[in-house]
Amino acid sequence: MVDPITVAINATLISALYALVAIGFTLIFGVGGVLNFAHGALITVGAYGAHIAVNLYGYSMGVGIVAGILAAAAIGAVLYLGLIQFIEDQPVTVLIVTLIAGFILQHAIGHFFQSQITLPQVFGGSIGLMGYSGQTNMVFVFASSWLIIFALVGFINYTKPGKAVMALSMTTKGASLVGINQRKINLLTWAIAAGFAGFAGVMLTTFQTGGAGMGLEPLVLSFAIVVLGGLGSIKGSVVGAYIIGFIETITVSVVSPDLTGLSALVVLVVVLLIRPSGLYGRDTPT
Amino acid sequence: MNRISRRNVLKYTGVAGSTVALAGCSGDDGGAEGAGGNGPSGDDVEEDALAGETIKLGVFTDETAAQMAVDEINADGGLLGADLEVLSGSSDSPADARDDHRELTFQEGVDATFGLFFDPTLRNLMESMAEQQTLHFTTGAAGYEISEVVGDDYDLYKYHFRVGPINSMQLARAQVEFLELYAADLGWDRVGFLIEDLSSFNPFEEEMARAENELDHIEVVYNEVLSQGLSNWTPVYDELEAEDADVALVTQALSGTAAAQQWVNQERPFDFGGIHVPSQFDAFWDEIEGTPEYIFTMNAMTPQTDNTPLTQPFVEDYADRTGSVPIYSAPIMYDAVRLYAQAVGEVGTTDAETLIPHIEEMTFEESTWLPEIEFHGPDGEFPHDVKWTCMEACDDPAGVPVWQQWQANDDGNGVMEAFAPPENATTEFERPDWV
Repeated sequence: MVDPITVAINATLISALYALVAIGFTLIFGVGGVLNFAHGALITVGAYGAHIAVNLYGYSMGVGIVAGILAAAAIGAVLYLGLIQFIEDQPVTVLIVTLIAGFILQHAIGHFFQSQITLPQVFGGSIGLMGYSGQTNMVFVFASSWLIIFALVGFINYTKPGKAVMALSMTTKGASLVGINQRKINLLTWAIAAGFAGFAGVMLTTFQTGGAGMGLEPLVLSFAIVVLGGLGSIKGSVVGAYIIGFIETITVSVVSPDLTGLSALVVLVVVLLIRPSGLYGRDTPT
Repeated sequence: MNRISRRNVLKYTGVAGSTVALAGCSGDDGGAEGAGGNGPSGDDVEEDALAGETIKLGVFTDETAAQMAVDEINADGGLLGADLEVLSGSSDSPADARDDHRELTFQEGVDATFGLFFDPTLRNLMESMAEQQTLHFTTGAAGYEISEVVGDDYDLYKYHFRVGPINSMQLARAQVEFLELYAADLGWDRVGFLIEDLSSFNPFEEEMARAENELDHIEVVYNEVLSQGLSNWTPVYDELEAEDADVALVTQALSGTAAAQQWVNQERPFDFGGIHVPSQFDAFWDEIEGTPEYIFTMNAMTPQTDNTPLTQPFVEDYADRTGSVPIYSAPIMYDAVRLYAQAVGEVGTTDAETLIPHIEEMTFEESTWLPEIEFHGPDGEFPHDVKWTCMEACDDPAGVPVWQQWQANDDGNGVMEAFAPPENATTEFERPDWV
């Protein structure tokens, strides 16, 4: 039987990464009012971006992280510029198109690259605290994820483009009236969200094994998280990530590792039945 | 070559003549006759009984190894005057293999087929073997259930023989034997069994439960069947660590790389290995970030072992041809083709109905991985599977499976050394400093 404190430590560490993935997902909904089901594929893009830099070209993991973020952000931007901007006022069409785009991306990656990839840990070994130990790499994943979340909050609250993102998420008309270039801000949002997914993909591959289909599980998790937290709410995503992260970790640690992802789906169904708007969110699009 | 016409010719004309001087020929001379065979055997076979013909072999996997055996036989004058030819079949999917098997047997008229690594693919071929009444020699798939299929309807499925590896039930027994003999020496008091949910590994849960009951010197702290798709091994390793396990004794194929990678990454304080299929491949050393040093697995042979006097010559020839070292199924394929050639040489025909009783009785002493190859008969425990006694702890031990461990050589490159059993050991067991 795994020690409850160990389970709690693991849940705390991994939930930060879940929050990061979910925030990227909810950001696009908050600003553009659309659901991006290619978000999981962007996690894969990030992982393979780092794989190319580190394993194929021999760069350090620092370069690999940057490469993963940039690769995903670039693909996110291309998705917006090449597809989404033409249909962004049709949420259902966007949902279908992003779903298809995600499949295409994953299949393309699976076709052109090896099916399983691994990345070195950013930091090896483990560190102890009050008699309990955690993987140093997971502590880095936790700390860096929170750093990025705080940076995003700072960006939104204290920079002009960030405030434009916030304004657009509140009211499209109002944002237009004050001269905000909606398309430009949407593009920025897609690139940032994709960059978050890319970072998550790199981090996931440092402690699990990556592959073309690696984005599906985090996509399901992040979808459950943002529905629980409330679509469009960053605060809701963080709270939702920790609730789902704890439920998920307890399930796989105490019940069975084979149940990975199942608890999130159960939570998703329950939330949709009881409180469709989630903890902090606005109503789901109709 | 027209198999039907040749069969009829041989059947109705009979053949008498001189001895077949085939290297390694040591079969039971009376086997075919004694077992009910209807063809000539041993001294009755003419040296050029098949002169001018081409014996076609359909090969699904390890084509290089099959070609090596064929080249040797052809260079030595062929088989009773006939040349051997390899025709390739696909094993990309069970459906592809079945289609190719039908094409090879029905249209190309191959005399026997060889290979296959995955049990589902092999199972899918059994009907086609029965329909076409063509011998098949398995050289990689290990699921013991195929022998049950042969035994349950012998007349229909008698065309299947497993030249190697030893089947999954025998592998599970070998793992129990290994624990019995080596757990104390390796310092393993508390053992965790991690078994992948794969049909080939069906016997393991039961056999490991037997180990738990019968072996007093170990305590089983974890015994779970886990999904093939499990990507996050942290909860499993946390539990093993919480239980103070000394070793994660795994049975893994599809999930093996992820499990190994995470064991390396997380520097878990227990040994890791068992039947770990990915680490039986030479490419495994480069697949794992960091290194897979210290990961151990059962294997039929390794590029470093000397199972028999023919093991290393085969490894070297294979490396000369391909630039890489073989995995275990390659020497088994090499053996399978030569074993088939020995059988044909002894009975003077490629007719399956004549060969089957002879193969059931014959002994092949030129193996690259076993001291000798014989098969269970129709009433044996595993009909038409290669016979295996034990690894080490019996009167007539087979010396396999070998227990291989990845270690770094002086140049820092990965090598697959063996630490057990003693007759095939090339090194001592090592463990990382974090264990």
